Amino acid sequence: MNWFLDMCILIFYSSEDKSLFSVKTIEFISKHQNDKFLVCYYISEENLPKWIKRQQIIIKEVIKKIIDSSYKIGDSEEGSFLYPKDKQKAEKLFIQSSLIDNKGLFINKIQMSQKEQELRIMQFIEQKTKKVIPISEIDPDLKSNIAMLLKNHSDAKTLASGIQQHNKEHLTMLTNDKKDWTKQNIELAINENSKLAEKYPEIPEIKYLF
Amino acid sequence: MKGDGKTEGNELSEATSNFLLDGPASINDVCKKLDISWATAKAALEEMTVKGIVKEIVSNPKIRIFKLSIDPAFYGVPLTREQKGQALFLFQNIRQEWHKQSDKPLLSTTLQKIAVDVAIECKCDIPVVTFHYGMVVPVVDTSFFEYKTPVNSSQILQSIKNVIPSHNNRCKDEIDSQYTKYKMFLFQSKEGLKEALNNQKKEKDPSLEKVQSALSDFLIKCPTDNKSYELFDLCYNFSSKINGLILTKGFSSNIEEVKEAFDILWDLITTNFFFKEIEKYVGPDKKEVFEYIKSSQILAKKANVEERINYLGSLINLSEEIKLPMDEESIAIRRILAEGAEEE
Repeated sequence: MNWFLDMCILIFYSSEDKSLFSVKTIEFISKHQNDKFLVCYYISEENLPKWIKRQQIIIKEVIKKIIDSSYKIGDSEEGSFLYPKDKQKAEKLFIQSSLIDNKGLFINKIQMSQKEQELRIMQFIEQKTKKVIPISEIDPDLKSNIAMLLKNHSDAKTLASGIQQHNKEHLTMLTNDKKDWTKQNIELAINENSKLAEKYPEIPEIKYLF
Repeated sequence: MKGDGKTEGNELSEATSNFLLDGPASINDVCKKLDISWATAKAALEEMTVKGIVKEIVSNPKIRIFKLSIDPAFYGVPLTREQKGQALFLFQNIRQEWHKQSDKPLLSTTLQKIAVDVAIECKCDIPVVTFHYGMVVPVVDTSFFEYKTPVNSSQILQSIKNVIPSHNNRCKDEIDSQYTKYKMFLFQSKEGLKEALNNQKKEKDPSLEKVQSALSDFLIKCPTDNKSYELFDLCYNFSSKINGLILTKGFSSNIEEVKEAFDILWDLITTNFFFKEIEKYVGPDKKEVFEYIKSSQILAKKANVEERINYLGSLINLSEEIKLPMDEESIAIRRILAEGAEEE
């Protein structure tokens, strides 16, 4: 069995944070350890590094705020790359730091936690997955049609990679994004264009973590 | 500067040297100051370079900057002849007074520390800036650069007499005592980190916590203002690579690389401090030259630091299993970091 993984699967697997997402992901991977896991190059080479970079910026912003409590998270040049949800994460971490007397220890802990997460994701990709569909081979028409529907280029590139790979070897997509990663969305995007429908006759099944 | 032959050449060389006593200058500055053509100024400076009278310290398609070979200012920053003269007067008189008060040889570290105390106490126009091992008077103690006795010489001499007894001339004590006296917290933290890194070699893994704690302390003391954000970033990246090495059990075996990278990082940090602090001593007519000297120094060092930090990253071995800490706090941090991943 081939499983084409959404980026969140890699993150939840590596986080081991006892959240439902993380528990379910670890259960799934361990239950299917003899199956093959596929990750597209777009995730491993572009989207994930960007996400990791944002995590690093979050930590740096928290440290700056710990050093100078008047500092506003996101005010630095780099901080402007953060999304509102990233700033909220930074605020949460800062609140957590305020409950702890030993700031040095806390700074070490958040840095280590980020690094652990980063390295475990990289390890998972290197040791447990096969990379598929180089970014340059993503079908631009397929990607555009999906992006028009979802209004999200990142998901569009990942889904297009999965669909293309599925037409080379049978796979099931694994995610927990029930809003965008739906069979209906994929069918709409492909069937809107007769050439695409002809090129990608097989549509992969999508499975959700829970 | 009109005339012919050798005499004219010598006069030109003398006038140029005299102009350069107030710090480095570009070919443009020289031709404007001496009212000569650009080509003449260029030829004169090149000839003086061959003779060893001047050195070209910035050379790029936009500008060429020359300094006197005997100019004692650190990095050739443009200080006036009076500023350099007062500093040299200070050094010379500290040495003389030291030998009156002690029969032990004066360490160059002690000389600098006394000079800083006196310069600050006298509130005179002697530059005092932060450098690799603390605050310094950024002038090389040399006898080649001639100077006049400053107008406030008696005040300086009295201050030297007062300050010397508080210095014990032991290198480590001199450094530590300056860090404490002037509240140089980042420098104190650097000493802690250096010590932890040096002990790591002897004690192996049990001392890793000391390294991590010293590293966090160092990061806390790093400046985070907007002007220093690049430095903070580099310190963070360095710290992140160290954490990666620790997590993948590659730290002890690469300790020498880590120490070397830290030394280079520290060199860049203190060079940045140096240029930031010395700027206020540089006259408006020398600002352009100053900026070029500053860039030429900092850019090369920064590139070197980035390369070293990347190299540390390349030493991280992903085949080592990473065991996550399962205490409540670490789990909570990881949960926050993973939040919203399904929307990515």
